[in-house]
Amino acid sequence: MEMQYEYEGKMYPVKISREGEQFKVGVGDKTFVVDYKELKPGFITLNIGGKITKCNIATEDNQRHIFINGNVYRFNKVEAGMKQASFDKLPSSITSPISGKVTVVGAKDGEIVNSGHVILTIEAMKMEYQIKAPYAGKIEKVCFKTGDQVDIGVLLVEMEKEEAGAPKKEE
Amino acid sequence: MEITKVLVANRGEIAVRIMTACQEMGIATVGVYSDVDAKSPHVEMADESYPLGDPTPSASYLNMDKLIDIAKKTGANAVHPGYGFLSENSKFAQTCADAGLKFIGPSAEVIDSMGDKIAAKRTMRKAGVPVIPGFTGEEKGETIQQACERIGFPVLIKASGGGGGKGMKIVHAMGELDAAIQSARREAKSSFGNDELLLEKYLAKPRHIEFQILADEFGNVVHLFERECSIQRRHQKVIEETPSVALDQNLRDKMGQAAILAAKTIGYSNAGTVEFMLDADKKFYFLEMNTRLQVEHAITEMTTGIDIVKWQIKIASGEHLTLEQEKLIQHGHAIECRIYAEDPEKNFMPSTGTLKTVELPTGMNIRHDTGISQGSKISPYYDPMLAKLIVYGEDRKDASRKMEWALSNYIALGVTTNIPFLRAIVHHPAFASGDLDTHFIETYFKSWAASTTLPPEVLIAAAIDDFKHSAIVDDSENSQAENESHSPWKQVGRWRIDS
Repeated sequence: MEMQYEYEGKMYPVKISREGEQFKVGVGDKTFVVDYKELKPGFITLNIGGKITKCNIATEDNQRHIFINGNVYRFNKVEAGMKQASFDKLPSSITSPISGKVTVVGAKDGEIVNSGHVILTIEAMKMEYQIKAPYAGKIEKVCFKTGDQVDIGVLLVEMEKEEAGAPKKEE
Repeated sequence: MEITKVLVANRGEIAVRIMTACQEMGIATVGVYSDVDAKSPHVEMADESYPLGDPTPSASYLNMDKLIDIAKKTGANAVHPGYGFLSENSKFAQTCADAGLKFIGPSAEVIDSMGDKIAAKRTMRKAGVPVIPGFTGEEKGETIQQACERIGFPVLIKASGGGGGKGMKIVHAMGELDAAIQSARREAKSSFGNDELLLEKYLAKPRHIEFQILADEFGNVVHLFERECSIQRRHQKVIEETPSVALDQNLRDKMGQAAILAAKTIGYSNAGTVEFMLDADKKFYFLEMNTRLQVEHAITEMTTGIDIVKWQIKIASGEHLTLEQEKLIQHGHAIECRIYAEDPEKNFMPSTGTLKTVELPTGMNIRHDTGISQGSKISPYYDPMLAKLIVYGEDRKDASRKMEWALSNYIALGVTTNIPFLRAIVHHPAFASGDLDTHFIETYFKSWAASTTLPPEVLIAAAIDDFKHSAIVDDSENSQAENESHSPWKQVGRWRIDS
């Protein structure tokens, strides 16, 4: 059986088969023979050639959260067929990194802005977060107004990148 | 006045902490919760709990009418405000007093005298406590712009009405000033309902050293030594420890005396904290006084054995302070790490979600102050602090090693936390050598990132887990296979096929 995982933009194919009580797992060009024990749901230990690794797994749809040796890795399982669709990012849109309330709108639809221009200010947990233009360009659409509640991941701003001749910033 | 029932006007770990102290003292507790907190541990911890409705702070934990109403209906005779929310709101202290409820903290007048940071500095300067150069609005005819020129950049803009880093901005040049003032005013307004600002000289390599004090209602004041809180991000404390490696006994005595003088000057009562900045030349300056229980009070408890929350209640009941300064001693070393739901790789952006798995490290001298549990939803409404991890060791090295171990075994999955970041700090040679200042994180961890490659163990664990789950689906779809699963032939067959 083959699985695909995606972490930080990189794909990791893993081959796995069962061998009695053990698993044979191929990662990259290496194959590991693994003894596996589930202590309780989500809590497992791996024994790889006598070396014990304790880990914890939490699953959320295609997302995997795994705790090993004090580090938490958050990555995705990639199902066949969805590989391209989910990683094609729209370069012309800015999504919200946080859930919160819009306190200031700093740009109008159609406005030409410089890179770093503060388009929106979102307040969450009593702190302010500034949504800045990632590049110089034209604001196609600001999707929220002052006072609106926004959720993490929603489209905030549509923007068109200015290839050349962007206005110079005045100090 | 005997305190018999306390309404805890707060949420999360501090509500749990206060309720524990009350219950140990045989005092009944009343909890309150907003809609999003209905399943929080503090709700079940209380003897009785009542809803505050809408989670917006102003409609819930900041809503004085609702809180007073619940206190009266339940027959509580005291209110503990915890930290944050209404803890430093003199109007709330006064409203409680007017309603015949004992506010567990100093009087409204005292809160007022220190709540206004401008007036506080003026008072302290007059009393002979050293104060940092700055602009408090009292300088005649001077604008903020002129004050910046007098003091010299960089300067720090702060909200006059509160602490906790809310409304604070560092300004390096005149060109940044206007934007910073506007942003600071908005944050100050939304956090404290007061957009007045003050300004002060931004010190290079300062340490944040604060003194815990306890004062009864008869003028007796003691200090419970210092806490060093130099490791901060965005002016909010991340790691605190006591004692501080920067203080020798002579300096400790001097600062402790200054803290007591500050408290006595304003007629302080109950627990409080006097915050100082200590510069590279070991000169100290009064920063502000927090007229409430601090987040980091636990490390003082670990090294002195004194329960600060219980003393708050005893003092509020009118008991005399029986602690004597000469007899107070600190043992060993304690460190606290604040576990935040935030992403250190993305400018400490708060993260929200559901905690799917929580498993805390246990062992000798490891303390957890927490108000979350498995299944808790982390909402964007409140401070992103999830819990506090506190360890005690025989000395600083012992405590640091214990902290690193505890962080390595602290499991909280489902929400991005700062745990790997905390571990990296505690592991850093500059932390080990005690070379701390409030720019520590900026200096050493500016572009910190966790590993960007997956170790094979992670992939192995994921693959086995997914394999097992897909296997369950296959079995249920094929009833014949399930029926035959106990057949010895099938098992033998598997061995053959796979080998």
